[in-house]
Amino acid sequence: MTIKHWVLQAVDLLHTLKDEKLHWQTDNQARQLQLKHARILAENQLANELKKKSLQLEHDISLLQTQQSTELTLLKIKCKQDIKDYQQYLIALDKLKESIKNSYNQVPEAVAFTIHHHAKQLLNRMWEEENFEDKMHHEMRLIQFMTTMHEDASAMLQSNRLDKLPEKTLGLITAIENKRRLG
Amino acid sequence: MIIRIALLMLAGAFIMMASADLLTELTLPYLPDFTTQLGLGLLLSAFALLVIMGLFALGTHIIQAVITYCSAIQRTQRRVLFIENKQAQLKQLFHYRARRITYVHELSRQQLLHHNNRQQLAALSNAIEHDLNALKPRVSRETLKQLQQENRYYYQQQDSAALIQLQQKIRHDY
Repeated sequence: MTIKHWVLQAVDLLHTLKDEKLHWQTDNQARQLQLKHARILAENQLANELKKKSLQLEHDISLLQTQQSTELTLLKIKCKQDIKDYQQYLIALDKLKESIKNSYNQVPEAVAFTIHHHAKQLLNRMWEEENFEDKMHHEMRLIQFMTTMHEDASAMLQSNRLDKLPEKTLGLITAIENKRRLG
Repeated sequence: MIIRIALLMLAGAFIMMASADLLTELTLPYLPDFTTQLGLGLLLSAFALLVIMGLFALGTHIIQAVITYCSAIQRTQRRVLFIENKQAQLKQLFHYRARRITYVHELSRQQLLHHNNRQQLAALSNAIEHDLNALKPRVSRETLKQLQQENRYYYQQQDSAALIQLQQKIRHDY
């Protein structure tokens, strides 16, 4: 009798639990649906945003590629021009050396070589300088040096002096070297 | 729920075992054997249930993970990450390409300079050779030979300072 009673009670309890579960589901069905809907909406929104972002990034990449290829082409052109300029400078220095040698018949090759070597040093200092202001400064020095070389050569040709050496250029070399040693 | 069933089955199995012990004490025939078999069966079933449940949970987890991995959001997220990575790579590549171009340019400039240096040194060395030829009647053969050797050696070494000194020496001393 007691066992039967217990079993019936347990069955009753089970039914009550089921009832409560059903009630809860009916009460919260709307909220559950709403939550599900909101979750799907949020997921869709996120997916759309991500898609937009990926499209934007792809667009950015194509822009970046174009920009980079243009910059690289410009850099190549600049480098080629740089090399050309450097070559022109070297040719100009060679010509100046030749004109000094032609003007001063007695000038030893060692002196002409020293002058040329010094001019090349100035050129290299100018070329290797990273700072724009210092680069301009070195360029001014080089131009001044080349002008002095040219002046020496043409002055000798015009006048009939018998100087053995291009004194102005050599003086400038000494001045520059002294300045370097001090500074 | 299933865990509860499995635990109940385990508890039942232990009770069966205990009752089998008790029945053995009472020296009853057949019944203890039957009870022990039943208890063992229950025990095995409980473990089997637990294992099956574990496997089922694992399978569900794996399927869930695969579904999440293939979902639209995750796929797009991976794509975004891939593109971001590609962008960073492109930037780095650009940097290296620019450096390569600058390096090659600097190398060709150095070659130009080197070529010019060699040309100038050759001119100086030739001038010294010329001076030495002019000296021929005035100096001994050995001295001339030694000076010529020095000239060639300094030229091979590309030693401009030594060549300049040599020419000065020839001009002043002879």
